[in-house]
Amino acid sequence: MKCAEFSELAGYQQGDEMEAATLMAFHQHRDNCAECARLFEATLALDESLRRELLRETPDPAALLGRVRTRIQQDTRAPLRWLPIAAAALLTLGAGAAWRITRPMNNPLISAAVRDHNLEVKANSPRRWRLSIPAMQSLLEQYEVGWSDVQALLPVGFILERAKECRIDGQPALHLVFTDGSRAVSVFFRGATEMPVTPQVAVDGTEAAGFRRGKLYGLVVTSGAPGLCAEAVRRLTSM
Amino acid sequence: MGKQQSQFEALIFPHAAALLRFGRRLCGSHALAEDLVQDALLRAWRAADALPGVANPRAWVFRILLNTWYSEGRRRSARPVEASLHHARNHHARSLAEPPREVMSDVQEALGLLPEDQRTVILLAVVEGFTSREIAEILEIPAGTVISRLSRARAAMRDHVSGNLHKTGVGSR
Repeated sequence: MKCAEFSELAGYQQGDEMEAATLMAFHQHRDNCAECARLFEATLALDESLRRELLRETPDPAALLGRVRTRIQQDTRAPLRWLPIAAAALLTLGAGAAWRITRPMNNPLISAAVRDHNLEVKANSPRRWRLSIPAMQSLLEQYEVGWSDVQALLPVGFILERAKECRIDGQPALHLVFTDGSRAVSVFFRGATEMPVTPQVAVDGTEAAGFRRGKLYGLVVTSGAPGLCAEAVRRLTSM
Repeated sequence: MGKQQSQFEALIFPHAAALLRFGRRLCGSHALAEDLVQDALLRAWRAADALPGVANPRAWVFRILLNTWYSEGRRRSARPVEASLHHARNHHARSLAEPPREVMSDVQEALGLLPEDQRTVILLAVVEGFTSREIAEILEIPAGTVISRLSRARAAMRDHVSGNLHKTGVGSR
């Protein structure tokens, strides 16, 4: 066996089936080639370090599984035999709606923000939101958004209801939801990450616009409340 | 709770912690990993009719998680994770859950520097313990490709770690 072949076989996982003859040749090469033996030992040590460090992370999935269970139970309330028909109908309607929404909003940032707003605010898809003020404040600090910034909508009766991290066009972003009890405004911040400031677009009652205030870049999305998006942008940029 | 749901929970829910751990390395933060895993589990539930015929439910749900990640990635951005993490760090938009760079070990740093395809196979192999054949099924690529990606990933990590050891003078005698 040559060193290149040994190196290739060293990529096999424990538990992979290696033929007996190949395994024997592998061990013989290791015993006779000091350099390959050294690299192999270094690889084993590296694997062990990686395994030990990452397996130390033991995330608790209890809350997540609770949300998934709730969603499954909601899904199963409808008789299962109607599910394929209902899914097909929803798919057709959804595709139509998505086409209508995304076609004019072909800006990827706006599309991503509108999609998150529709999924997480309008459809209220279960998510782990930060609801307490200290938890929301720590997220705001991460994105360099001041507490005073989020009070911009206070004069028109909106309070900050919840916050979470999300991704907008592949970048981490902060999603804030403001409400006045009947209407909701989504504001997405990407901190000082530059992005084009998109003028307002409106499709099927959903309005979205980008804004910039100093170093802070953001996007506003509203639905079912004509004029609210422009008002929110005006207030957020005039703080 | 129906029989199908009980079966689904018994077979899939025990892997949630591993999915979260793996998802976090894909997304770069716990919060984003939670969304990803949740979406993947709901996708898996919608495909639960196929579960009785699945020989390896753990590999099956990891495959769904990766497909969810790829489809989300395609919808949201084609940018690699490294770029977004680097970008996020530079702009103080780093997740609270992510360990600060200064406390990352050499091994974790080396892992973060790998291209996504290599990082994915090494996490599945070394941390999650899948065989090359299982990884090939999860990623829907030939087993030979898995092995060559593993070899390249390990060589790159080894070089990075040994380079850092030499820089600090450890093992330089």
